Amino acid sequence: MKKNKLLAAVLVAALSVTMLAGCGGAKEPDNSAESTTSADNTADPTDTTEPADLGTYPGTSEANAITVNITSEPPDLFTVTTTDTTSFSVIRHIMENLVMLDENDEVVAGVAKDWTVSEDQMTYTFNLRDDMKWTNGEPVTANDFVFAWTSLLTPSFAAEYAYFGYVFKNGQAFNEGTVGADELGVKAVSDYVLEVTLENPTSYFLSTLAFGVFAPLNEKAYNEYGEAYGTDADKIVSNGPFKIASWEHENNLVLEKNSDFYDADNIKLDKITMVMINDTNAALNAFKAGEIDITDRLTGDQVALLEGEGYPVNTYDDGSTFYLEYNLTDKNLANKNLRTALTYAVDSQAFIDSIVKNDSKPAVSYTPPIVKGLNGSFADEVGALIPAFDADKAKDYYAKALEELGVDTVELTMISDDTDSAVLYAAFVQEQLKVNLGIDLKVESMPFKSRIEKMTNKDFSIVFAGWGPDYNDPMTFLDMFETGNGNNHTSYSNAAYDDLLDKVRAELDPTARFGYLTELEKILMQDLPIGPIYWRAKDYVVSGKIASGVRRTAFQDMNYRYVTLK
Amino acid sequence: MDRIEKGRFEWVGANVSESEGITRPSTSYWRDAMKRLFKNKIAVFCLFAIVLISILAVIIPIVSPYTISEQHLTHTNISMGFKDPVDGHIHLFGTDTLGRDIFTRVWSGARTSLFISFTAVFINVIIGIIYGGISGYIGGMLDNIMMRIIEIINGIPYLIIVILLMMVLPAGVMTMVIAYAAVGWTGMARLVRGQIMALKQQDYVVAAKVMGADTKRIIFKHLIPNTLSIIIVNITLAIPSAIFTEAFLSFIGLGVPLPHASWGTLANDGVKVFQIYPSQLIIPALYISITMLSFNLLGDGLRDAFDPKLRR
Amino acid sequence: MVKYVGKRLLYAFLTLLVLVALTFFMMRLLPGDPFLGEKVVPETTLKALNEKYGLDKPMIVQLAMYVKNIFKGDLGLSMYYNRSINDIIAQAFPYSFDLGIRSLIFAAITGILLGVVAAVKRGTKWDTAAMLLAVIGVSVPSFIIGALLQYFLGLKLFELTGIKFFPITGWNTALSKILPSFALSFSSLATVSRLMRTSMLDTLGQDYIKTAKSKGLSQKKIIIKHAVRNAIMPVITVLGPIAASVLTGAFVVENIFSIPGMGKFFVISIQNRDYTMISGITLFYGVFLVAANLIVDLLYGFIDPRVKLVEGKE
Repeated sequence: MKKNKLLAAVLVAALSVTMLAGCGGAKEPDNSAESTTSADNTADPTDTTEPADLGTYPGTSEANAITVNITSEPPDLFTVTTTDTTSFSVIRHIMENLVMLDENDEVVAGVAKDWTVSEDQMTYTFNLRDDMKWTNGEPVTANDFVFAWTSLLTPSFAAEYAYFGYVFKNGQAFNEGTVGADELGVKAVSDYVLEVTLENPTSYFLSTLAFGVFAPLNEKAYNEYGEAYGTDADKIVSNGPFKIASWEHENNLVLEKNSDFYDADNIKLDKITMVMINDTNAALNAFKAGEIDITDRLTGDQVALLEGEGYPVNTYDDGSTFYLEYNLTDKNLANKNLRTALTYAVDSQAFIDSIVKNDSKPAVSYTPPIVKGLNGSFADEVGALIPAFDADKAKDYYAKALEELGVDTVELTMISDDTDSAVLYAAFVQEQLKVNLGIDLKVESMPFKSRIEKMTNKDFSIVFAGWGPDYNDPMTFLDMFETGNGNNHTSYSNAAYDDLLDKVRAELDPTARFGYLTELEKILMQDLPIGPIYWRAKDYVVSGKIASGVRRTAFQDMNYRYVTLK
Repeated sequence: MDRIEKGRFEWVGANVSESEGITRPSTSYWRDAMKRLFKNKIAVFCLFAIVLISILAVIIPIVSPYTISEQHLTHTNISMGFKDPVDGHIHLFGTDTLGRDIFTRVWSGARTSLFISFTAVFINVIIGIIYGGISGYIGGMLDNIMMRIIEIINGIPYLIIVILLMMVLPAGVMTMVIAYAAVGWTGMARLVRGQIMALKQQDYVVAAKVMGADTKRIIFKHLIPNTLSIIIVNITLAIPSAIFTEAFLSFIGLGVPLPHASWGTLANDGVKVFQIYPSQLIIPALYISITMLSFNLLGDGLRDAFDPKLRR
Repeated sequence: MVKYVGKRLLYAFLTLLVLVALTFFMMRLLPGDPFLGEKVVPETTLKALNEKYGLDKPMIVQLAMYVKNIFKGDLGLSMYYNRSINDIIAQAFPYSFDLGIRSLIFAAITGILLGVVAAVKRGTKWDTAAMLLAVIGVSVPSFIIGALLQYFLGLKLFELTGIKFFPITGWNTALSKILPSFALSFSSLATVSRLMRTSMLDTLGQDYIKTAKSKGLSQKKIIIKHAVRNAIMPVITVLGPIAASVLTGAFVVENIFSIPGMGKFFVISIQNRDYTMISGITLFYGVFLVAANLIVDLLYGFIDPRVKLVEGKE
């Protein structure tokens, strides 16, 4: 009797252990992939006898399918209202725009077969393919673009990226309600001919059209789902090479090949599973254990680890510049010499070597090299305008600044995000300023929204910030410092600079235009409302399963449409 | 056999001074407890360890050749016991990603973490005992309302409280103490209340009441001492929880302002790189564990020492 | 008893109302708003967004509308996901509950068992071993335990043997549930076992235990019938709030093992200033917390006959 009770206690404990594993989880049929992985490995004697062989990371085992990490849930797949990169990464696979970008970010035909541009560069006429279908069976026509772009600018849609539509004639006026939709410079001449009139001549117009917000929208489908459009797998229609097969929120999103797609012959994958692994260690572990085929979000130390193992790590220039943003309304930072001193005093190369640990480049001007110039890279054409690091000059400028300000030392506070990497960056800058200039920089790290609020209220002296391109032209970087621009948190205001910006906007001749842009860049690097630190490169790894076709560039941050497998 | 003469005996009377005298030195409850605590070798050793860690935490960052923020960018992420052949730098515990000396940082972190946890837990215990004691002893409607207030405080998302505190208070160690104490006391209060509720029905409490003891006496002489063992154990649990709340707060930006370090942040940084540089996780984890072990064993010793039932 | 429960339910209702209102005003004090981003949003868009979510109305009207909708069972539309919060919770909660209940049951049973063994075998190797485990449990937070379990049992074991015992991420197979549940249970297990041991020691010193002993009851009977039943009280007190927080989502563990549970919403809704979402999950969590505390209080009376539920006076 007593023994039985003791036994019962032991059994209860044992039972509770098995509870952890318990059943009730049979709802996912998807685990077949995992079981086959283990079967493969046990069958292959080289793997069990030489575990080091697993260092090649074979990836998932399902045929004609890949699993990729997109790190978080795409918050909104409705192309008109969405703004975040994760959503655009998904949209890039399911939507086909008028034009698309190739592997070098050059414009290629999409829904539009071809197009003509008027002499004054103000009117574009697109001829559309007449054989494309939406996943609800409707044909893809010029009206779908008119509807999408009108929606983008219709206030009731509350699109945060509405200003992208200001490129169209009367775009801003319509958005602000001063003219009607019929005056918007977007017309469907016929079902398969679309005519677009611009507000100003815009040399980079075609490349912006490849951006997700300019995707077409099927009116019939939108009216069917209304405001819930794009929130679930069955509440969205698409016209791209893939369609959403299932979407389990916060867990995974499965894309399946769309055999109706015009270029279906060149799409080799049948299925792309997008998983949302946020933790950096977990993502790398999952990659190594063959649960995912592609992951980015690698920390500098992880890159070093993989390179130490001899595993190839891929790098691409993501087109962002990171810099110290100075608040010019701060009485100290209004001093140009102080700003120059601070900018020169941070050792960018050491920053990259010790924290980022990849092919990121020290920024020697503002606009990053990925942005096109007249012939090649704009940054190359402009040349190095500031040193990446010059402690001696920094000290000289600092001495001058102190003299001009009439003080012995300056008190500065830097605000930064509270993420692990942002805190590391801040610690680095803090120490650099201390060693090279003897400034005791105070650092306040805070959640993202708090930081933006402080920046908007000009309640900061320095902030570590970054900016990425919206389109492939230096203007996406340079127009930020126009007087009164909402993104100009520095309060920088220079009449000469504003004049030049207007000249750029009106200029049709590329040579003259890039001359002005170069001039702008030079003024900026002279006045230094910001102190550029580095141009970011990002890393990702792909499993041994993938042969080619992974596209990751500044303007296509993940495009796996054309991935081929070994 | 000799007869014993009655006359050989005389009545000396009762020796009042001896029979009523105090043979053992007079002792109070607290003194008695202390005495028993110091008889417990393990507890004394742990107390010694805690005191030693606290003292070293003050001294080492002062005498260390490096500051906590000093970055040696030429030798980052080096392993334990490193000695640079060129400049002769010795890093006992290695350096981190930015080349900061971990030995200095871990001791400086001890300073921060121990201060925050001691202060916060002290505040929690005081508020918790008072609040829980009143709630449990008086009971009825008041208890009901007081417990509902705790529920509301626990229900408000902690992050909101912390971000709001961060807006009004300057970033720093004291802010973190307040952030932890703002909600930390509720657990203690609930626990004390539960104990008091059970104890107040005990016979000796009823007896004391019948004999006319006032509320204050009952609470402080009868209820609190009997609750103490649970409270002490809870303190030893609350201190690690304070250290990790601090790590969490550091993570979301209300941490110790740069360039300071704490055990929580060191462990948080360490876990990011433990696959590559395990020592960066093991060192802070070991410090935390040793401290916690000491606290727990000391807690056990204190528990025994304060237990009125074990009093001899 | 029925009267007591009825009264408590009424209090619970009032508590939740105050909680919702307080959270509502507090979150509006947070710096920033749902639509504040790195890039400036056009004026017209901002106006439309504020209209869409009713943010243009006076705050008190907004609160009244929100409370009205709660009574209809509608938690509103998330400002970040543009999806119904009812749907979001309905989708995420089962994962969190599943994870939470496993770890909770494991922690409670193992913890109580360890605590009892340690107390009964006081001063022996058993005691030391059990308490060492408890100390490790409290001094190593779940973000470390989780990362270590995932790395060593998930990845390293796979690399050494070539057999996939434990998946790194996900919550679908039986095996994938072991590591997260274990990681989550560790700290509560430690708390429970330590409290249980102490409370058990207290109880074992009580007169009625001595009485029972002198009556000739067997030790096992004394421990189970008399000691455990009385010693379990403080454990139950702490289990209430632990249960409420563990069941409604564990951010750290869910993040490490990529489990699509509720935990992340407690963090990202606040980071995003997703007002409706903050209110929704606060209310949801509040219901759990209040219910857990009510159950704890009821259990008090059930387990310990000395605690009377209905206080005589008033």
